[in-house]
Amino acid sequence: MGTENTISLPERTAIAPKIPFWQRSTTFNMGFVFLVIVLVFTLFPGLFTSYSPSAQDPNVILSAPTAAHVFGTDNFGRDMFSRVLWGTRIDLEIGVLAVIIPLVIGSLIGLIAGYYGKWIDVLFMRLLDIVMAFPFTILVIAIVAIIGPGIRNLYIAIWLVGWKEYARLVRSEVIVLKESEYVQAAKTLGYSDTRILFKHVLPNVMNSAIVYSISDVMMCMLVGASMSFLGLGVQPPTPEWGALISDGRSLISSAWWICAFPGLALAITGIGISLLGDGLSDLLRTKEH
Amino acid sequence: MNELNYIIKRLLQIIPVLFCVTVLIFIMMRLIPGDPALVMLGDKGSPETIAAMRHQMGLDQSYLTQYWIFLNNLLHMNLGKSVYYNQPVSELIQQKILVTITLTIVSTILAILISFPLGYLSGINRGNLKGQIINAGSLVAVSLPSFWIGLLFLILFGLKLGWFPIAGWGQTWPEHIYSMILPGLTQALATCALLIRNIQNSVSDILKKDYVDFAYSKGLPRKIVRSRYIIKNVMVSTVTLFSMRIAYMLGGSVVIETVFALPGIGLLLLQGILGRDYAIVQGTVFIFAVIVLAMNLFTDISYSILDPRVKLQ
Amino acid sequence: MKKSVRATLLGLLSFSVMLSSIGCGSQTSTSGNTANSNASKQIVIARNADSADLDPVNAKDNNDIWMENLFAEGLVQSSADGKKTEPALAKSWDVSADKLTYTFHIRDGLKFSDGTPVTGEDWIYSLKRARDTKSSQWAFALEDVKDVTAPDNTTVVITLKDPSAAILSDLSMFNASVMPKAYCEKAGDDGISQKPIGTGPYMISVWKKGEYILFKKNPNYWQKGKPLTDEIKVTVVPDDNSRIMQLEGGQIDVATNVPYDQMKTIGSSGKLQAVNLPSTEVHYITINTTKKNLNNGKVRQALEYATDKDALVKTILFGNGTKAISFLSSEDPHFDNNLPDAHAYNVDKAKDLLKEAGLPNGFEVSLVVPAGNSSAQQTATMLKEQWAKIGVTVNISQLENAAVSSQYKSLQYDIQLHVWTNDITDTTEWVDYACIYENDKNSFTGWKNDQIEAWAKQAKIELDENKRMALYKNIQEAFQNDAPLIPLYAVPYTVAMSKNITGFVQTPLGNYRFQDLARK
Repeated sequence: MGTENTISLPERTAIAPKIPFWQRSTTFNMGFVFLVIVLVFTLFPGLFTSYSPSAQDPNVILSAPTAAHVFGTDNFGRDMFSRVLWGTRIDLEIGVLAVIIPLVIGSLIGLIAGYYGKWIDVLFMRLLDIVMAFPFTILVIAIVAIIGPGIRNLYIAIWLVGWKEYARLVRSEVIVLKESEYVQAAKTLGYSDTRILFKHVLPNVMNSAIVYSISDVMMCMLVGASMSFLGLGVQPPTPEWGALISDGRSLISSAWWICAFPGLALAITGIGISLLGDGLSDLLRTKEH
Repeated sequence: MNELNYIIKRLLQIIPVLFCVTVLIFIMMRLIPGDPALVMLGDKGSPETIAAMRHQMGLDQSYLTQYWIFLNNLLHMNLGKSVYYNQPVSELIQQKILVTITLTIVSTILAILISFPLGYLSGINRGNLKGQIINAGSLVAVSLPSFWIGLLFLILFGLKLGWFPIAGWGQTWPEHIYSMILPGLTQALATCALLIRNIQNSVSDILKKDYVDFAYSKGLPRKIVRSRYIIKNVMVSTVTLFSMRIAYMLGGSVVIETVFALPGIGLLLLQGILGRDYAIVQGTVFIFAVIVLAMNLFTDISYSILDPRVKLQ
Repeated sequence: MKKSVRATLLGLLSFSVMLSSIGCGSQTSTSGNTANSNASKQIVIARNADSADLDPVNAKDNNDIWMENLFAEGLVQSSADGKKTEPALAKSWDVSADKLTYTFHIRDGLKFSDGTPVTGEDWIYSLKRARDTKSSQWAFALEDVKDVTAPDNTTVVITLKDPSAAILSDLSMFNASVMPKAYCEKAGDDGISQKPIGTGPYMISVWKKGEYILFKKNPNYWQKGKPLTDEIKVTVVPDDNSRIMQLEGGQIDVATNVPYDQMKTIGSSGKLQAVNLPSTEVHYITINTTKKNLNNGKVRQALEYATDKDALVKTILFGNGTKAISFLSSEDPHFDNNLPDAHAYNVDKAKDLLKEAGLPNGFEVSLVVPAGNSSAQQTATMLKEQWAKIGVTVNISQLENAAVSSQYKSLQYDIQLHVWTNDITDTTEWVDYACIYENDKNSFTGWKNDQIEAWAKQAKIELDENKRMALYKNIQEAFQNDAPLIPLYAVPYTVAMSKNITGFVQTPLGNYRFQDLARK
């Protein structure tokens, strides 16, 4: 998940490459295009389908893909294209919301622990050790078991667990950067800790955390889908992709389309995000050299 | 004797973490709304059994005492009694832990068997068609949810082709291993994708390095150069990656065991949650943490053996 | 040299891991065979969840109850069609003139599966334990029993407090099965729950929790030549899809709890048979009649008129099942076959009734569904759509099962979805719950109807079958008119099995009877 390349950027003095940024990484561009398409679907699902994702039509139960229903219909006669489309919004929301909060919290913890060191570091790192001792999914499942299933509780569970990687990544870079002449100079100039931390340290240690966060978006979407599959995540009739696959899998031999299209959507989004993440790490690497 | 010292040091390091894990589980169990005795007994406890449970859990005493009772029970592997199965949780876990561990080991082995040749191939073919195909494949593998892949495998290899048993775990060891191949493969795929990328990077980096050129210039045959230098160097980073993936794979066992009907502790945890059987939830979560810590220890030790430069910091 | 030391250490480490896992494994892999390797002797049945407590007295849910008759039997049993009570271990019985004393004549030479003979003491112990065990959910069935005596080993005399129309039916329930006193007292409740012993066609050989139960033929079974199959292995495969695929792949012989949507595909596959076995399971809407708007009978009728039950059967049950008109199951012995479908789907009528009730624009109603119950969620989703047509807005929310049930029992809900299944052949169990207020606030609707209640109480002690039937007819009609519950649909047990399996019997009460289960 990109955690292994703990690139440390010494200063913010990278030489600006002469080639324009859109020519620097094809991977990034491909991912970007993928994601723009997905975003358009997310923001304006109504533009692409006239069906409501929850409207039931008893006359077209389990219809195979046709011109009227391009992705077919499910056992309630709901239009699958519309459900997959509206599902984009929910899955992307899970991916983004489940990552942004841990990214912020984790980075702050890593920043503070790495910069101040001593007992603060020890405290946070022991906390990290404990959270790391549990498999991610197990801890999320256990938390959901305690506070109950549903999408809101799923977020809470992921937030409580997800910060660990960010804290680890940021901390390890802060520790290196702290000793650099650059920060030492800022200290001798009498800058306040807050100023040094947020103006000078933070911008230079976020790269690997941001690269990781992109692959994390995809991982969280998969965890969200798996939780729906286990009956612990998004509850029906919300058209979440994992829930759609889970609902449709018993019908797979007679109505393959119910399972296939949400799976495809998940795969395409996942590939888009992976490409974007790879591209971003390429970009940051070229910037570094 | 360096290794032995290291192992002892590493073992000692685990103790405080394990201690904190128990505190966390204790707090989590107390956060469940309702009387903790009722929580452990489910809806159907009689007033007498509830009173007995309250006393047993020390609910009339301070939290510290309650925790002490809890810890004491854990240390004696007394993980409580399942309300649903009416059986000690430790016995249930004992019966099922082997399935989960076998699944993890089989997936690890499969991940290595698949990703080493493919990663190596894509590393030396970086940029050309062969490499691109492998890259695209691993991109897809990492983007698909495991329950979806598992479903496909079941239909394709289990039902249509009839190569493997469809779900279940069999009776004898050969059957166990055989029935683990599909679930193991499903579990391994996402890890494979990451490993392939990792190996690919290491291989192409190493191929650029001077000492490989030097070895070539010494007249060593290509194959020997590659296997000796590359494999060894790749192993180190692979083990690191694995130490991070094992916890993830153990977590994934809940889904895999559900899809493939494997009677492991992941499935037990899910049954515990759906059946509000909190003794099971508490016990399995604790055991998962113990396994992760043990596996991490194991990878750390392998790591120190593979790369003597790495020592306890 | 150092390198080789390291390699050896690494090898040793991995080897020890392997060894330890094999060491653990050898204890667990000692018994049983798979379906394929022992084809003629073993039948494998897969279900979605394991049993919890197989003690007939303390059985918790259907996963326990359905299994009981495999290894335990009582004086009498329900017939295979679930409508009558027939002899089991008692070959005949006499009833005293005052209807308070029942004398049962037990078959000769009965033995438990462990070889010990069945004595009068065992009968007294078992029946009294069934009546007096406080933790048992089923003790209610024997509450009319005053005393049990046994003049000799083949005679059991039961005296009653009051005449009871349902007593034979009560005695046919699983909790009245005979168990060996000496063994039970030694094993205690915990021991019995894990390994109960009875006189049934099978006995429990191995039970691996969450994995399988292996039943072996009872060598001492009283019916000569039965059961036909040596071993029955009941495995747990929680995932519906995996269970069906195992069946299609020939790994198991029978799959129970088949999802409705798969029945048609399985039935038309050619290799397998999909069977709908009649059950007493009825799904219905419970209405809290103490709430505003819902306290009006016209509003409740309007809601029933607005419910397209045929669409529910088509969409949720995929045609496997029938729409329900009475709150009683059509498998119930006192179901009224002539009951009209008084509130058949009619949106206009529903609108008119709402107008009459002063609610021309409809109203809002909240429906709380247990989280994770997909069938309830599907029904809720459809009701929301259907009732919107008459302006009734259903606000669906999800809560933990425990919370849903506590709202139900404290009458703090608007409407909820529930399921009823009979446990005895007689009608009293359900009518008691739904029509006699003091018991459970009329299935927690808060609704009261003195006339219906009087009929229900009368039917309990009326021994003339024709008069009873008339009373239950009245009850069903009046109940339908008041509509405190809206019956939605009745569902069968869905079972899929290989074409060559015969003799799979499940009574409408759920009990498995596997005496004749065999592979052709």
